[in-house]
Amino acid sequence: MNETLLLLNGYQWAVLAASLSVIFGGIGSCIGIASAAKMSAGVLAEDPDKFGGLLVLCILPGTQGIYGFITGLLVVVFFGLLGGDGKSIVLAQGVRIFLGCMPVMIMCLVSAIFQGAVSTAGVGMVAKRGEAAGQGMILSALVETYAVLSLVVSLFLIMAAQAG
Amino acid sequence: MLKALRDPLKYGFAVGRIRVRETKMLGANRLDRLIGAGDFYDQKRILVETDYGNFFQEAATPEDVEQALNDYLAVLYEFLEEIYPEKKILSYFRSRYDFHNLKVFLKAKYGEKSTERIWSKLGMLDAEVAKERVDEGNLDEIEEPYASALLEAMEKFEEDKDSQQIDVVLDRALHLYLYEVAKRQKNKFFLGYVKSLIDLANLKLFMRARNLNKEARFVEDALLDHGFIPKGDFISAYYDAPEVLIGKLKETPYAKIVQDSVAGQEFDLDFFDRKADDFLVSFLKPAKYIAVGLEPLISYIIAKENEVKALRIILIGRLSGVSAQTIKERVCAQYV
Repeated sequence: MNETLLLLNGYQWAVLAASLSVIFGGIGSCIGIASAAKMSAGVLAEDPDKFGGLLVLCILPGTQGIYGFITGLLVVVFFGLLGGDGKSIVLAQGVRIFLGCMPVMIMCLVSAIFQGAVSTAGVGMVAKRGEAAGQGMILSALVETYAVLSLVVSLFLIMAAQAG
Repeated sequence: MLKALRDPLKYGFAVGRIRVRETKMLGANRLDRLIGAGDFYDQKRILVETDYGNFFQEAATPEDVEQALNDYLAVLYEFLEEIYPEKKILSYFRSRYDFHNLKVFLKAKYGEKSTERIWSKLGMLDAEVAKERVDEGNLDEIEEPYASALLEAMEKFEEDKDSQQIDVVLDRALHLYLYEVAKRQKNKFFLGYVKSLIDLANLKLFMRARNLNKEARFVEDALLDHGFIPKGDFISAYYDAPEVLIGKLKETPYAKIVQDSVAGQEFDLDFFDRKADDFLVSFLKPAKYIAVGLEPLISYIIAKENEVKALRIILIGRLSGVSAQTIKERVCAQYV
């Protein structure tokens, strides 16, 4: 119970895993959305009719933040971090939870930033041709794939850590 | 990576606005229609569909066209001032008008030419105040880099009594200023553009000096620093056949332009000017594919300036009775 690795015990590793999943996913999404939204604001200042297509392009990089949130929430719920049960997490299990969350932590941070870049380019397309919004969304969604894959793997790894 | 994070946040809004405005540019098709229009009033009817429309309502003479286009540029610079995060970029573009004005004022001071109507209000200095100060020789009140350039030009003129020295000194000061502004931006594209501009200015200087049989010493003094092509290449080839310079340029994009500008023992400077403009437009084209950053902003200003230049040739050409074919030859390629 009192075993530690890098000064953290099992419970603290689990809390760190949940926190960083939410934080990194959130940071990535903030940067991605801000990139696309800032350029969209410029386009809308000139042509307010393009709001519909631009809104979706701005929203797309936001999903990584949600994946981080889901992962963090599952760690909290599965391992009883809200109640007292979490205190019984041993070091090995805590480290497994942390490692299980890493795909989401890293991939959501990176993919949201790059998805923001693709969405920003999509905003440029919509500025020139309003009907290009759909194509911009598809291109942007391609980057999303890898965030989804990381979420799936993280979920399995968290379940594996729970099964012991 | 840092650039990818920084640029959308820094330039995103401005690029968003200009991307929409780019769709309203005249483009090759509309310019062709303007060239082919029956008369100036037909041209005005075509322009009504564009954002130039309001500026040409009352225009009837070449002077009106000039005035309308200057008013258009003033409004354009005002718009860019409002949206560009880097105000220094605009000083790059507007300082050219200041240096032009200072040349005109200085030459007028020394009794060379009248200043009426040939100076511009598009610079950053208040042109009328600058004229007064140049006339009085009160350079303390003029800001840098203009004051030291003026001082040097005045000293050179006093020494040689040659008004060409005014052009040489102020051109050199202008290009040095442009280079420094571009260098401070730490943007390869922008710096590359300025260096190409310097190369083309040096090439033109070389050709003009050759056409006028000037001495190599004049060219050596007048050549600008900071281009891609070393000044030594120009100087060492000055008394040789054009092929020698073309040989030195063979690794650069300028070789063909110079080769095509050779006309017998001389250089065709009008042709060179047109090809140089086309080259600069082709230099800007890659910026169309950069989603966000300083590049699209710079390209937009230059593209708009080229558009105004093309419009000036087309409208004033038509009013002056120049044929459609000649006008078409003079209008350079467009960015959009």
